[in-house]
Amino acid sequence: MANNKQKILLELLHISDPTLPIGGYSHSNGLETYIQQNVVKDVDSTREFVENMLIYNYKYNDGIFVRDAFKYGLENNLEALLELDNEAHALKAPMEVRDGSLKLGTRLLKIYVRLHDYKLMHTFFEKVKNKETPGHYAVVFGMITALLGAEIKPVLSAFYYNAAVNMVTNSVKMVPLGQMDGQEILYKMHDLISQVVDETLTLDEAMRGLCNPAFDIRCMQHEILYSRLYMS
Amino acid sequence: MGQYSVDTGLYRELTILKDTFFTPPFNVVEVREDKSNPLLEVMIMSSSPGFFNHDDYKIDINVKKETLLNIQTQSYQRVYDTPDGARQEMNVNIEENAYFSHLPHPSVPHKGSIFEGKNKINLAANSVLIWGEILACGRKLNGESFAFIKYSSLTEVYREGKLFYKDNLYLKPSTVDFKSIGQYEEFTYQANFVCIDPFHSVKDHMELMTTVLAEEEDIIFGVSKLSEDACALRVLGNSGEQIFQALRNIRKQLDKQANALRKKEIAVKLV
Repeated sequence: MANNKQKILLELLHISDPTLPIGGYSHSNGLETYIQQNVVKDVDSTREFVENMLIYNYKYNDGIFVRDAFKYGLENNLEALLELDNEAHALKAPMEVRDGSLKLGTRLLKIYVRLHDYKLMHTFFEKVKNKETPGHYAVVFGMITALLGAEIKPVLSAFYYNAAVNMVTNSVKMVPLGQMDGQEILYKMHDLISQVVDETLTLDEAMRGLCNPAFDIRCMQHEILYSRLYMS
Repeated sequence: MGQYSVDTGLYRELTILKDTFFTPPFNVVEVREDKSNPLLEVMIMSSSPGFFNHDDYKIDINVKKETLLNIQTQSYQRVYDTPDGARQEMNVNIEENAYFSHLPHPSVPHKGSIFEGKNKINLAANSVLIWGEILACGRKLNGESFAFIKYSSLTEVYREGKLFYKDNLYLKPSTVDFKSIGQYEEFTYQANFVCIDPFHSVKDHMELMTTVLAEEEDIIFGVSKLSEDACALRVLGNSGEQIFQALRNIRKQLDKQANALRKKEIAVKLV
């Protein structure tokens, strides 16, 4: 049993590794706009950005899709996964956020179809290749981690941790912040991540896909920024 | 329960109000000024100043094949102190090669209000939707910013039966700090506008929206492509009237384009 737990821990460390070559580090999801507009400019505003992204955006627009895809992965329910994937697509109005999520999802699939022969994942990948389903990152992440045999709370923790690392790493580079400041923000985010994980499992379904107006606007504005280092 | 329905029809290539049904407080009135325009414009008049406790409105719109419809509202939609809540459900069907535009006046949820709105819009292939929504933080000048209990408005747009666009405006001030990053920040009004139009270039529509809104001060906005024939606009600002006028300007220009295109088609048919 201990061996299995260790194996799953390694699986989750691997799939949520920010250096996994799916391009997570090249997306800022509106952060670059916020920094250029001098709204995110120091440790406090960076912390507020990361916290609000996790509490209001990731939870209702991505975490909830990880949670549901995980469930349908366990049930081997392809139809429900496809419907979920389409819903994720319909909710992401800013083009770069939508395209970024698709790039991450497709690349994650490309890695894992070489490593495992889960029929559900391969069928899903075929449908992505044939443009029958978009292939959003959160849906792919939830499905694969379910197939790997992980449990939902560690899966969501890994997902949110990966998102937090990417946001903090980008802030350290762009704001810029000191490396130690970045580590402090990230480390102090642990309790919040645990809280968001619990909330993802019990959230009010009426808030599914909650609109975050200012986040959306900054993501849309990113498309026309004069100078851009990031893809979103 | 208040309700109204609008069904369009075609008479000599012009869209007419074929069938309408309404109960108090509603009345449906045609307001098309230029009677040679193919686009039917109707206004929903209401004898009620807004939503009261337990109000439950049901709206059904059927835009028949090859018809063009614009529905306007008469005034701001107020939601009064509604401890048990008020509701509105709107179902819209837009058939093949039909056009529907709708930008209601801003909604103003007063202190203590609870509102739940649901909009379900079905589009056939080659049909057009121009849809906007503006929400105030409340009666700001009376010191009632975000003093409502809950405001939710869920919009789902289906194209040929498949979910294409979903927008979930859900505000519960007791649980969210609206001044913080990502929410309303320093603003008090938000607006969403979506445009699905296979007959015109999405790039042109995005340029139109950008040009109109770039003129406005004290707002932030973003425009983005949803697909090759659709785009979305989001706005944050501090004046409902300012945002409404700007979006109405865009909506009117799109209505004009639809009128012009249909007139051209009619001219070709007659030749």
